[in-house]
Amino acid sequence: MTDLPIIRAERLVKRFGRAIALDGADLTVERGQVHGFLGPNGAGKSTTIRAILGQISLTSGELEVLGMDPRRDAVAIHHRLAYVPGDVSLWPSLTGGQCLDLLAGFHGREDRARRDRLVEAFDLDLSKRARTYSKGNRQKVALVAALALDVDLYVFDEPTSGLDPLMEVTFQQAVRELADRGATVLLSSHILDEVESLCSHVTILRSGRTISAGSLEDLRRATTTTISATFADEEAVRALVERIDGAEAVADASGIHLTAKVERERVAAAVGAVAAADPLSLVVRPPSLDELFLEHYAGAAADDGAAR
Amino acid sequence: MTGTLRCALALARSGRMRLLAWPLAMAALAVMTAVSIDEFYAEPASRAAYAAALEMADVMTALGGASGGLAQLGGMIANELAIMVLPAVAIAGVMLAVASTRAEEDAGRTELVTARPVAHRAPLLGAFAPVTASLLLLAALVVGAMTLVGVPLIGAEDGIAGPADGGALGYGLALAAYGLLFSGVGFVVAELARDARSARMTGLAVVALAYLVRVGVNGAGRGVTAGDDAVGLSWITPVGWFDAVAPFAHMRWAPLLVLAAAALGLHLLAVVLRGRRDLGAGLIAARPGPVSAPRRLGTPLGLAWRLARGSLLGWLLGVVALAALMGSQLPAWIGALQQSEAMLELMGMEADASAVTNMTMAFSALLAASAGIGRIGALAEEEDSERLALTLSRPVGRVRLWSASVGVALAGAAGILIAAGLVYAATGWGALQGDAGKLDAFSVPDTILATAVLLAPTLLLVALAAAWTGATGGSPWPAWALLGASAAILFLGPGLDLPDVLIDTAPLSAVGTVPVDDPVWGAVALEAVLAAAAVVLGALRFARRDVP
Repeated sequence: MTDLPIIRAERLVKRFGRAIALDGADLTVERGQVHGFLGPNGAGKSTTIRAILGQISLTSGELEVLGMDPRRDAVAIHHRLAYVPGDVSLWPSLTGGQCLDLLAGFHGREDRARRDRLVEAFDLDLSKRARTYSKGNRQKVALVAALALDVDLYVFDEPTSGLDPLMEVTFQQAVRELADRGATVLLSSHILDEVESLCSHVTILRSGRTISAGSLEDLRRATTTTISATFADEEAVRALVERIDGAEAVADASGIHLTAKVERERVAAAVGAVAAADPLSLVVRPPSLDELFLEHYAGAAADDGAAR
Repeated sequence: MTGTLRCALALARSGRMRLLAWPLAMAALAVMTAVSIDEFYAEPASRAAYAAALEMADVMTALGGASGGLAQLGGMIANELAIMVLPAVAIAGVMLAVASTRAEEDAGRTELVTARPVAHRAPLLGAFAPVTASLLLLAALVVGAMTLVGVPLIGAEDGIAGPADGGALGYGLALAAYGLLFSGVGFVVAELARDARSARMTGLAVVALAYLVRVGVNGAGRGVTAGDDAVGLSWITPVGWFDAVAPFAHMRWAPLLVLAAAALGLHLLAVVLRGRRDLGAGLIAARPGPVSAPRRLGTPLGLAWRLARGSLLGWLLGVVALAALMGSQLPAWIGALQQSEAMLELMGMEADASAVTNMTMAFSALLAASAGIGRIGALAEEEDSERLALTLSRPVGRVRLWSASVGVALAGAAGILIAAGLVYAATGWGALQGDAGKLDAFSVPDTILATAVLLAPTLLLVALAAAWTGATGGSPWPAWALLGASAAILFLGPGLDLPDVLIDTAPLSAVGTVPVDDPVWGAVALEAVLAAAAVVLGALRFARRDVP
């Protein structure tokens, strides 16, 4: 029972009329993972999340959440699930506090102490009516309502898109606490820093299909370290360019700049070679997932362009 | 179903204004009518004249009460109330149903709630409770108003012939079932439509269609107005079923049971449809549209027209259909009036079409004003949804934008009223061809006069809505309230013997019962001036205040 994936989605297909939102998407989230869910706009992330929540029915494919069917067993699943939507709208005439009470009432139980701590951490004024809240504050209400629950699965759909950097930090801290408790988190986000800092695994969706899925460690291994160095001596640079695979040199007024993207295994040797050539400056940048993700996203644009 | 109770409570809480407004408004109307009728017609002997007057004006049974039973106090009250209650309760049912379901969904609140341990159908079942309660309360209050003046709850009045199982309770049951049928319509339409707006439109169109067919049936003297005891063609529409129950004349249980069964069936259908539907979408899929828009859509007037054209055309269709229906019935109605010419003269009434013309044009004016106020409401929605702020961030002057939207609303209302007048005149004239005697009783110039005169109150109501939304940015509910009050004073005023000051100030009645009486030109001029002032005031406030 304990090695059953929390979310198991295989070959999901969803059509809205003639539009295809999901075209064979896969997603597997194991217990305890903080799982990033990425992809360009319109990739089908929100559709997948809505299917997980049982809000929509799938055209075909298998979907199990906590071992149950999201449509049929929605109530049982939702007792063990918390959700923050991308666009939060509340009851305009109620105050933030009343909205929190209203939402908590559906679960029947509430950890009041935890909720109060979160309200303070997110700096939320609960006495204001929901119609006077800014977008960011409405989002905070939804976040507090979800984080105050003690459940097995947390689903976040772009939860911090309206939050300031301080609140972003608070959010990340709260997610880490969840992970420490052993809960599972599905985080759909466009903020790559957030994903890199929080997630242990990612699944990348594109045009309704999964194009990449795996642990961040594996992804990092596939990326390259960038070595940038500036030289005055053209001879030394030419020698390095020949010796290091994938090295390029560009000359300008301040000198000759060498840039090399090197796989992890060859980093030590390459850095040693560059340093031995006595550069004016040397910078070694660690593997950036930004570039990896953007490559995948850009691949989408290129593919779609080719298809048209 | 898990979570149904909480959903019901949440809806009751957040929707308490609209859930209470309809019952209280109808209750107030019922109490005033009941008290007034009781004052004048407490003596059974005095009621004969009322019944006789009604018999001569078939147009009243087409638009208003058609259930008979006028020998009883309860029957008279029900008859007086009908012209307001029948459309209002149907509209209330549809609006409450859509507001409690699709509107919540469009706002994104249903999504938040269903992520909690809540069954898929719970938001819908939860919505049934407050809406049903509101409609039952409405019916109960109206029954209460009747019993207040002595209408028996069950049975006929002492010493007067009437059904022993009828009475105020029977009326209340019929009214409740009628309202619930239309809330059922609202719930079903909410499952099918693309969004809350189109759900409302479709629901109102169903109400309009049912009402129009009923006008046709009753006006032609078929159905329950045929004079025999049969229900006849009234079986065609739910409004006809309500007519057929006639708790003070016959107390027919069959139509009442049909109303209740249909109401139940529609609610069940909505539950079935909800099971198939994805959250956030209707069962009828949205279709893709054109990729580019003509340049004029990027101008204030072009945008205002594009946004308004759908609803204005819908209203135009409805009003024109009504006008055509009324015009086509003129031969029958004038014939009936001319047969009772002597009687009418005694009562100081003319045996011509002027009463029909007045009714038709007044009704059309109310509908045209509704169309205009509806557009102003849409403008408030633009502001609320922040689309207005987006538009204003472009190089567009505030006053220009506002004037375009308000201009379209005013022009639309005026256009609809004028179209009604023209269609009524044309169909009436056409229908009366070949019968010179009756043709004389119909005056086209009078129709044009009535149309022109009623333009003033119509535009005034729209202008007041514009002033309110221009100044506050909120929905023009005061204009709707004023519209409702004006309608009540107009239709029920004569029967209620309201203080003259009220009749003289209510927009629609202040201008006079044209063309039966001469127009009160002073009132017309005043209303026109007030309308212009309201528009200007609204523009000035909009130019200065914070948006949104």
